Amino acid sequence: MNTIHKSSGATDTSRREVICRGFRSAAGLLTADYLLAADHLLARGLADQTRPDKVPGRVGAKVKARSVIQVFLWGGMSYIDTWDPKPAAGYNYMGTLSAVIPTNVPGVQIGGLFPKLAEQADKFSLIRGMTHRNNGHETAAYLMQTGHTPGERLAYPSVGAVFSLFKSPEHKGVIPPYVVLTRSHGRFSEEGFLGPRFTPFATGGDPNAQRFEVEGVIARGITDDRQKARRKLLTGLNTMGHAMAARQELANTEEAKKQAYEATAAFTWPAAGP
Amino acid sequence: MPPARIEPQIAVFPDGTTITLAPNQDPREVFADWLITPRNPWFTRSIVNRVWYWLLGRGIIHEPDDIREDNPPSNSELLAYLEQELVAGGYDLKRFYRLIVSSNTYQPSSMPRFNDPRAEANFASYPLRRLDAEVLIDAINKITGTTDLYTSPIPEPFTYIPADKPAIAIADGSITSPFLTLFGRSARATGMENERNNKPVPAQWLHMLNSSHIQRKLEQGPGLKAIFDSGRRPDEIVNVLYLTVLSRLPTHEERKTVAEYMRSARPRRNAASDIPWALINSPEFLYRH
Repeated sequence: MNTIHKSSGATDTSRREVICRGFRSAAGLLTADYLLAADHLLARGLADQTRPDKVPGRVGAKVKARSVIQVFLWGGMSYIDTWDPKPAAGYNYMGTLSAVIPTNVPGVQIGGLFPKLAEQADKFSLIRGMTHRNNGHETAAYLMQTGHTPGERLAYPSVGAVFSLFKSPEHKGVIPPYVVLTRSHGRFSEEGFLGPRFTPFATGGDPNAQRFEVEGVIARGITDDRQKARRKLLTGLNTMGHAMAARQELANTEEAKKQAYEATAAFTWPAAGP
Repeated sequence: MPPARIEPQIAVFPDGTTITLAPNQDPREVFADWLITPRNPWFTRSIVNRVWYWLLGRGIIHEPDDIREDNPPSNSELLAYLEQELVAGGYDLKRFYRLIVSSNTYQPSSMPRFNDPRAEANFASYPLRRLDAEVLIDAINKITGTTDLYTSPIPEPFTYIPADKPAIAIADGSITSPFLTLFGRSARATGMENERNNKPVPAQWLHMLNSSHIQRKLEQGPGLKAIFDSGRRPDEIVNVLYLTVLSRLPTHEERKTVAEYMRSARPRRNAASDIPWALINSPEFLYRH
């Protein structure tokens, strides 16, 4: 069952397919279905490690999260309205959103705005015992993202950059390991001292649009023929680049450009086989 | 109740000397005055080395963040001379820049003349460096006649910079744009020079080559429209375009390539964005050389 079967005539999964798939899992994905699926996967992966007996039918199964989605609200949503209501504290504390609902986990209540999540509370972990004693959105976000207090001599990388540092050896394909919707945030560079290889890839574009176009990967309104023609023009006009082709600085930038072309090839150019 | 009397405060400089601050004195001013005195050699050395690094791509002490006893300057006489000059000029940075850019050392072309590994450490040719993020977007906006939005969500209320301000004029590292972040502008979380990073990564190319952000500027920017709709002859349009983007006239070969593209583009107006697209994506535009 686990053997990779290669029949004659069948090709391996094409690179285009792999990239498209990888990309959907990395960025194109903010449909509710997908989020839930990924969440589910993550929850199960964690559940398997911690309490295999509680997951019917999956005892001993090794399910691992393949990607992680972090939704970071910058302190935007109050915990008392959502995950950690304090109904006993009364109106002065709870305000108008004082309704709480029981969940399918005995003893756990969450805010009344989350009826669907309340039905699935056995599939997520909730941490209520944590605070950071930091009043500023800016500095608190840095602390939460990096695990370091601001003001140290170094700017530390955020968790996504650390993740991609350790995961990049096994990460395949042209889609960056760390993707943010839609732009990078905040005062502190998210790659920190790890440098620009660990800068998150910012999708740009509008995820709410009918067709979510990732900035830079799909050139809107540029046909493949025109794309080819203007790249040829770029090569033809690259007078200084040709004169200095031996310079390492230009070789580096040409290499980066080649990788960029490869990333776009998966989306805008007809696939020419694997 | 009358306000409590504010007592003079004792402050300690990084070199250990103390000073008494009067209640009405801004400690930052006192610190700034201490920073630029000859009895503080560290600042002088550091800023001299950094200005040299900004202009010539490599510090006399290399890397500029790594100033310590056992990392000697490549040319200690030069460094000492420049320190003297900065102090003698009353820490006037403009005067100091003039001294360096008018020197013989600053004049060589970026075509390397020597293969010797010591050549780089001794500034034998001008180094190739990608334009800083702010300079790059300002140049693109100047050419296309467009602007970018620079904002900061932190601290509230959100900050918005007026559209006519160039990126190089933004004083605060937290006021930024996706472009500036992508192209490695320093977030200024620390005082380190290496927070700015101009190394090329594929995502930057995706943005330059394919993004709607840049494409919109090329297609709709009034700057390019003015050149292409000026009613000039095609070869004059190409001249103006080259002078605008690369500050030089096209070579004979380039003129032929461009003319051919203008003839073959369908619809023809594609040429008006594709030719500048090719020019702003050439290393001659993207790099200091």
